[in-house]
Amino acid sequence: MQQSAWEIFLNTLEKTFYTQLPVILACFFLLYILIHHLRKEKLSYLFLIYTISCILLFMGINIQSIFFPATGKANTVIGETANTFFAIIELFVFIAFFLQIIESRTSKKFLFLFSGGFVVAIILFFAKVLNVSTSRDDIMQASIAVNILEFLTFLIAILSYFIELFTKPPTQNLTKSPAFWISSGLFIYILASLPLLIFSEYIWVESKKSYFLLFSFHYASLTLLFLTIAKAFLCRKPITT
Amino acid sequence: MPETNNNLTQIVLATTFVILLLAGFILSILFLYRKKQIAYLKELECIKSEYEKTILNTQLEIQEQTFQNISREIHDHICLNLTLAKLNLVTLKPDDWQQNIDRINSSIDILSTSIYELSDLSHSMNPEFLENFGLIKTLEMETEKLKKPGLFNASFLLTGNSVFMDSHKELVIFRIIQEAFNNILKHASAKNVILRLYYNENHMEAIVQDDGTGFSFDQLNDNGNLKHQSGLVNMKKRTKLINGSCKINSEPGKGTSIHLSIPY
Repeated sequence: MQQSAWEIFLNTLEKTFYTQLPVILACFFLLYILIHHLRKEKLSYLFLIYTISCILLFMGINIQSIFFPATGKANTVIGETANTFFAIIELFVFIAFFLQIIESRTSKKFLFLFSGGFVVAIILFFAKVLNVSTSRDDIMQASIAVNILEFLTFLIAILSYFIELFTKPPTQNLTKSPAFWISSGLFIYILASLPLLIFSEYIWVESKKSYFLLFSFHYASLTLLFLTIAKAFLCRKPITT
Repeated sequence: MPETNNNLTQIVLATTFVILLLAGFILSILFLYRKKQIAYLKELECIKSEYEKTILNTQLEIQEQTFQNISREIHDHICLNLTLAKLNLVTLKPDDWQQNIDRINSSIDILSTSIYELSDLSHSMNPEFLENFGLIKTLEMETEKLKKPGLFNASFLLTGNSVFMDSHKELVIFRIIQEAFNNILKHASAKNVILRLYYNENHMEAIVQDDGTGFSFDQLNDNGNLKHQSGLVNMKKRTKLINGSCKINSEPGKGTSIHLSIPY
């Protein structure tokens, strides 16, 4: 019996314990906050682009899986390509943010180094995607490498920020510091998602249910990230303070 | 099935624990930062109150020294002159009119000198003088006063375009140069005194130089010359109060130079 679009959609949500819904709601909430509190800072526009691309990614993936379902390698290529484009936007936005809040030249050099590694990983990924003879597993591994490098870059940036926070004179009120909220949200998101990324292939083979469960935690931490970004923009200070 | 459920439960528990740990990490950062902030603000308060205490002490010292200067001036010159005048008038003889006329004339001269010195002292203590004439004119007049006794040559050189500074700063600069001139009069036995003013882009420099006997700071300590030493220390403190610097160079037999540098 062919399932209706609505049933397919509900099925997709059920797999990840309906944690996609809070992500989408958080996305729209962040979009509302960004539009209402849009400032003359470039970073405001960058975060707006980031939020819109996240909404488009979720909508696109769900529309594709409902109306244009694909199987096997084709499904992987579509999903991972969309994911990679989103990762590029994500890296660009957060690196632009961290370059403005981190003062240490050494940290900035490391950021550029890892970003360079990320670019290489992107090139390798697209090379594999465009190569017809590449297997599904190779494409998955290339996508995982892209995401791991992205997260490691963010981790260095966040740790540099926290180190600088404690080495500089403590004059800020952290609960009203937009930079602190964004860094904290991103930190939780990265550390909650990194195990899934690293062990995803192994967990997928062992237990698909466990895989989707871990994915739901990834979505939960993503929801938290969007909420902390929204909180950052609700603080009436420049985003880099 | 139960095994899968067990695995799922374990994963849920483990991941929840990890997320709680991360949230705890963030909260501990907030707590530690707040603790550091409180300690930092306390330290800042201490430094601020120490600084205010130092400023107050410096101002009191300066005030004390000023009173001492006034007291010394009045005692050493004016009191002495008035005593002399009184002595002249008390010792008038009814039968020796020529001597009386001479003594009266001498008393008039002494009283005129005292009135002039009192008026001078009053003007030099009154900051309105500086406000009315400006720093450069006032310093020119002080240099001219220095020449009057005829003990040495005093010259005033100005370089650059003058900049109007805060009246408080100008007063402090004037008082320091005045103190320097007083020291030269009392201790230096100099032949030549030069006062140079340089108006640069960001700051003003004043150099008071004499070719007198000079001194060494060790010499001041050994002779127990605390008044002179405290005068020099007060010069430096006054300059610091207006964010400037004061360098005093002197060697026995080689004269003294006092170099002030004051930002605008």
